[in-house]
Amino acid sequence: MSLLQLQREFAERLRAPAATPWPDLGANAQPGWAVYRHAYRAQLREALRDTYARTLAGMGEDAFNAAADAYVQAHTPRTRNLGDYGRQFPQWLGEQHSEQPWLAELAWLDGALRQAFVAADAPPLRPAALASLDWEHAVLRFVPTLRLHYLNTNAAALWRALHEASEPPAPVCLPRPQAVRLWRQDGSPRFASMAPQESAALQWLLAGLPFGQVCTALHSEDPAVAGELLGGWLRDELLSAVENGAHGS
Amino acid sequence: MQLPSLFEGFGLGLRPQHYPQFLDAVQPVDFVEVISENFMVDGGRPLQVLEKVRERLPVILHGVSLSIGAADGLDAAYLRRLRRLADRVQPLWVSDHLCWTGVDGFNSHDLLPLPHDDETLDIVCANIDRAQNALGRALLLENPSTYLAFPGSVRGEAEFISEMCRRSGCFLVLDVNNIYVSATNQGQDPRRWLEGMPLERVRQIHLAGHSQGSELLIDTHDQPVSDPVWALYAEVCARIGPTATMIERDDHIPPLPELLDELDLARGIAHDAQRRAA
Repeated sequence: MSLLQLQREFAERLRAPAATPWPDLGANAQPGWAVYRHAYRAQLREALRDTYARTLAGMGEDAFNAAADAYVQAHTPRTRNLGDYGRQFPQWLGEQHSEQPWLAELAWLDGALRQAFVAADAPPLRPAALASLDWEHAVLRFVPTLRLHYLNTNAAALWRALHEASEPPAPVCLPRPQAVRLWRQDGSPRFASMAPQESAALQWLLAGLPFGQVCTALHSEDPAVAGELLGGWLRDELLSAVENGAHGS
Repeated sequence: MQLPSLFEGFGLGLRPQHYPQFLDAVQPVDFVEVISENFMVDGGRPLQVLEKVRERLPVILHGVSLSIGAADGLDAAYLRRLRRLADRVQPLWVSDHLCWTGVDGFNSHDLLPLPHDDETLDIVCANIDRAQNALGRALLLENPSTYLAFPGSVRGEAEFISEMCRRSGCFLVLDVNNIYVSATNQGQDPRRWLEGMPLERVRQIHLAGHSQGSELLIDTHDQPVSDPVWALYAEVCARIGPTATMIERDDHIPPLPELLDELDLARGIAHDAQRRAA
């Protein structure tokens, strides 16, 4: 048997759901073979427990471990970084536990926060850079860690309670989706819930609309809103650059 | 190709639990080692911490996913990313394990065993050649803990590693705990297992703890170095002289002072062994 054939058989037997002996290795090798089969699953389960720590706290040990083991059986690891294993875990939880949609949303928060932790750097824009801009045509660029997401359950409140080890509220579905923005500030990933005006403005700006057009849309409701939003984004270090903002450009 | 510098001293694996202590004060270590893959990321705090620590201390990049024994070859994108990290960090050297981790795109995230036969030796040497060219550096490979031996192995591990170093020009991380675990698991004397290892190629020594499984010793890196491993370390020190040595702890990570105390044990053993050998 060539090395390639041996490695393919090893990989296939390693991933097989049922532990079976591998007679070709000889009787003496069977305990060692069992060690590799166990270590493969244990390592991947541990990676999921680490990334999805609040989801684990919310589900409890037994339910989470059962879900993690089933995920491992269904998902072949293909990344070189163990931290990237489990990217599909939130979606998979949603499919497997559709009757508890807050679990997938808890896992989405866990996973997105972890991804933001090591996402690309971009120095935040300082307020002085906005001193004299052509606001009508300015296009705002946001830090690469920023993600806009809509939650259909109270997963945000659940996550915060689990993070603080306080009594979590009862999980519920919301009457309408709740927008959250998730980003990294000063090295720490975080998220915040948003009012409908902020999520609408962010969505337009992330799509590349000039600030002037977004202001026009917001001013129809309240002239001070755009300024307040901009102040909040500067304070939270969400902005990374302004394009087309120089006078005369 | 850049060869590994001759470097002596005592170090630790840099783990997130100890980042604040390494950032806030000068710790009594001569180098730190990091898991390469944890820093092959786009940005964020881990890379910032590594760069700050690098301003004070030499750094070693130690990988777990190179898969040097993969019969279907190395991952070019992985090698490019590792090269970028190495160019950024300028480590003392780059190391990984003599093992394979997956095939056909599958990556088990475990250090899987290789048969010690001619075909495997050819594949490993060809892969080392490719990795060294891609990285612009000589590679250091670590002897892994193994839990089984393939029936087709025609060489012992020491003979396989000797030939690998001779043909490829690579160097070694000698993991003394792994020698103890592998030898014991295969019913052999760890001292005999060490015989024939190309000790002149060793540039770094790893020390770690293991656990007793139901039938085999398991390389868990979750407890202090055991007495038999310290004894084997003393023997290695007497034979190869001052060599960069570190304690590897990856689970149940204790407060930093405990690891520094354990590192002092290594310093004392190395000092005594080398004095006796002189």
